[in-house]
Amino acid sequence: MSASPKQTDAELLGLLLAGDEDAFTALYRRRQGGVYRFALQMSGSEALAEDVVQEVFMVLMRDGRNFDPARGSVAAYLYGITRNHVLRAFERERNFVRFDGDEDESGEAPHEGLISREDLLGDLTRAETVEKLRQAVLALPTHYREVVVLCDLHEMSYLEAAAALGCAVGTVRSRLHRARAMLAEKMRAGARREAGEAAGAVGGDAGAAGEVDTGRAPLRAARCFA
Amino acid sequence: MNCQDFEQLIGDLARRRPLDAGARRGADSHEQECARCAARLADERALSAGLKALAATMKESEAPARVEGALLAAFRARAAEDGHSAAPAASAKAEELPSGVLPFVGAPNDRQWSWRKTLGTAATAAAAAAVALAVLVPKGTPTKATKTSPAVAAVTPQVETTPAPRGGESERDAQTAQAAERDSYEADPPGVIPQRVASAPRAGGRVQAVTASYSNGGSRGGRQARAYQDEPEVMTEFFPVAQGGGLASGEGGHVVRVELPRSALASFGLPVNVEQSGGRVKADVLLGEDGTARAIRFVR
Repeated sequence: MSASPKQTDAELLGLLLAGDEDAFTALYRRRQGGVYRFALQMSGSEALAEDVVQEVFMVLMRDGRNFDPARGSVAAYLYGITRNHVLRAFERERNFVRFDGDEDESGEAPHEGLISREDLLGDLTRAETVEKLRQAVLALPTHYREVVVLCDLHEMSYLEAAAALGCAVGTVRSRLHRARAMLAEKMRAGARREAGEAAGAVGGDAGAAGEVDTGRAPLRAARCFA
Repeated sequence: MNCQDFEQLIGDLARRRPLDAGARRGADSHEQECARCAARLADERALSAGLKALAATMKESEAPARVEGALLAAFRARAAEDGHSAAPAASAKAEELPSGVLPFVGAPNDRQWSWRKTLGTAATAAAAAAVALAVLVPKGTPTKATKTSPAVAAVTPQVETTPAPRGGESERDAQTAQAAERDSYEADPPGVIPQRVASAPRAGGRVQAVTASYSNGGSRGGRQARAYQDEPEVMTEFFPVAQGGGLASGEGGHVVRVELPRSALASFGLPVNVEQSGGRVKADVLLGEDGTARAIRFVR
């Protein structure tokens, strides 16, 4: 039996474990993109993502027999391995992404150091906003970042994400809720900063501009994502 | 539905996840009545749209082709090691694969002629064989002389490699690379990753050999990794492999560590210790950016 595009991931995994190179290639080509993007979105580093893809599939060919379909899909299994390797890479390279107070759940911008300080006085184009959002995602504490990446960027269901992360569905939901609140707050804070700087530059009344109302302005800023 | 109930559903509403009909009606109704919750939902929807746009910007991001090449090499080596019949499949597809992709794995009989043909030049270098013999002598024998042998350099492919330590800055660089690699492996759990590709720095088209200590299975704990630090690896120069020999100027490359049957040494005109002919030997395969094998060196 050889691999075909119609075969499920689990079937391909079984074949590759039996030494079928076609099955390995098919499964790799089907899943490497997701694995790579997950690692990239978690780390912001293409080099790390490349290494992680390599490590994940090495683990798959060696330990693929550990896959248990009762615990989730092959994709979830791969994401789980990916996550472990990304976290391990963070441990190894603590200076790779600066995590000042990584486990701080206060939502008080624990990773401001990662957010770009570039001048935002120009018009906010969509691309710029998306880039700021990317940085905001990267600045989330790891356990919030991973749920945002899986559920929002990879559009996984809560159940799949829970299988990949090895936690309860309720945990995924609550972390995602909190993570999104943190993201929104980061974007609002950025918008407030921009508004303050813009007002300071135009009117010279920096004192007043720094006290921009916190009512509707943040909402307007957040809507510029759309 | 009150504001608290609405808040519980707001993520699903913003991300347009399926909700049961009753909850959906209640949420719609509450959104009409409560301006604050309506604004909150608008924010969440904006965030979802932003995240969707972010995902779209990375939709095409994939691992470079060289990763697939390296993994296929590892897969074949592993299949050969496990006694799987991956080789026939690989042979059948030889035309589809980039030339030069690890021709040394698979059924030896199918491949032997190719090795000999490709490496005829190397085989004729008798001096290289003599030096390689020095490389393969039992542990404990001084091996320094093998590192800079001009005879081995004579069969080095056109690839501009920066061979392992040669003194000066390159020696320090190599030592740094070795240390970095070893550090990274110390964090690995036991037995993880029998082979691994090391990214080679791209500088002026030179491929810097990144060496590391590997073990195939078994424990790879910190103790073992440290033990390797006291026992530096000794390696031959790179031998060209198949038609892929040599990296183009400016091309980057990767080195992947594999294990081969010791009999593979003979294909390169290197002597094989008869007493250990059934064993395995470590080798570094130099892969080009397209994933094809360009050169190989043996490691002890």
